[in-house]
Formats: sequence, C-alpha cells, structure tokens
Amino acid sequence: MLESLESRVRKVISEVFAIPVEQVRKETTQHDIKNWDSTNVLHLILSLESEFGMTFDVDELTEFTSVETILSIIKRKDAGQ
Amino acid sequence: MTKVDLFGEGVEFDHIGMSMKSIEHALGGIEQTVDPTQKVAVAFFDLHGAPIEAVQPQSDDSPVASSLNRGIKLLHLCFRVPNLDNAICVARRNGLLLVASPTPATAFDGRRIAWLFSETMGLFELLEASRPDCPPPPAR
Repeated sequence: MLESLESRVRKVISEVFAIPVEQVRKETTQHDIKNWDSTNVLHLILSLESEFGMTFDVDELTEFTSVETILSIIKRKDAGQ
Repeated sequence: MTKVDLFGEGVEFDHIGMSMKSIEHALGGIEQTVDPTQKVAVAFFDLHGAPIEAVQPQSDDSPVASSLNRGIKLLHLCFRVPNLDNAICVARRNGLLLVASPTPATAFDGRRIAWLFSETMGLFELLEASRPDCPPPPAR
C-alpha cells in the first residue's frame, strides 16, 4: 500500500529531529519540537527535497513552521502552483 | 587531496566567518562595518594568514544571535565566484539549499552575496567577484 503524504512527512520530521514518529502529529508545530531551530529546519527542508524529489524556493523557507504548512507546500508544488 | 566542486569554475576562497558577541572586546579598535540588511556588524582581520570575518549580531533576531546562543563560533566559509547566479544554479544542482537570495552587501562595497546550506558541510556565503555595474577589466 502506498504510504500517505502525511505519514511520509511525519517520518522525515521524526528522523531529522530524532524523535519518535508518534510524537509528530498533523497538529505539530515548530513550538512543539525542541530542536526546531533556524539550522535544523534547513536539514528538514533538504530531507524533504530528497524524499519528495522537489526543490523549494528561498521565498518558501519561512513557511516551514508546522506539519500542516509543510503538507500545504508540498501539495501546492505537486499541483504545479 | 580530493577536490570537491560545489559552485562551478573560477571559484576562490575568500574568508571564514566567525561569530562573536563583541568585536570591540575581542579585537579592540578594529574598523567595523554595520550591515543593516544582515543585522550584523563585521570586521576583517588576518589570523596567522587566515582571512577572518568577525560577525557580531546587531539585534536579538539576527540569525547570528541564535548561533551564538548555541555556542557556535565558526559560522561559514565564503567563496568568491565570477557569476553569482551561475554559482547558485550549480550549487542547487549539487543539492545545496539557497537560504538567502542575492543581495548587495555593505561590507563588500555593494557586491552581491548569497547564502547556501549544505546538509553535510553547513553554511556557505558566496560573494560575487565584482559588482554587476562595475565589472573587472577584460583580461589581456
């Protein structure tokens, strides 16, 4: 069965921040994860680029603040917007 | 020694960026330049032959301030590139992330800089070798 977009994103976040995937929920934001800082978010973005085979623009970097916004960005890019 | 090419041809090492809470405290009366765009004051000095850019945050929301608070002193490596846009393009192809678009920098006489992040090597500053409106003389 194909893994859902949300579960792939949660898995990437759990790996980057070294926390159990169960701690990453759809409602999770940068404030819920201790190490979600300006450097680690760059590791997260590069890992997401690798996982989803897409590139993110410099203007989008400030949007990586929660699971929901990340899902929105990926869906938007997938739709070619 | 193995050569690694991240930014394309014609790239030269320029300096190492080092953050410090107070340039005055570390280096005395050295000349400083304030860059309001980057929210930092910088000063250049020679450390046993290594060119160093001392970087002092000018506000609490400066990215340098958060690095300093986490104890990070060595910030970045800076390379001069002949064409900034081309170098960014090559870097993106090599998997680096553009974290700040090209912008003129006060500390470099208005030459453009850009910031890129590598998963394995950390933060890089790219500095255009000349200003777009003031290209170097043609080679003889």
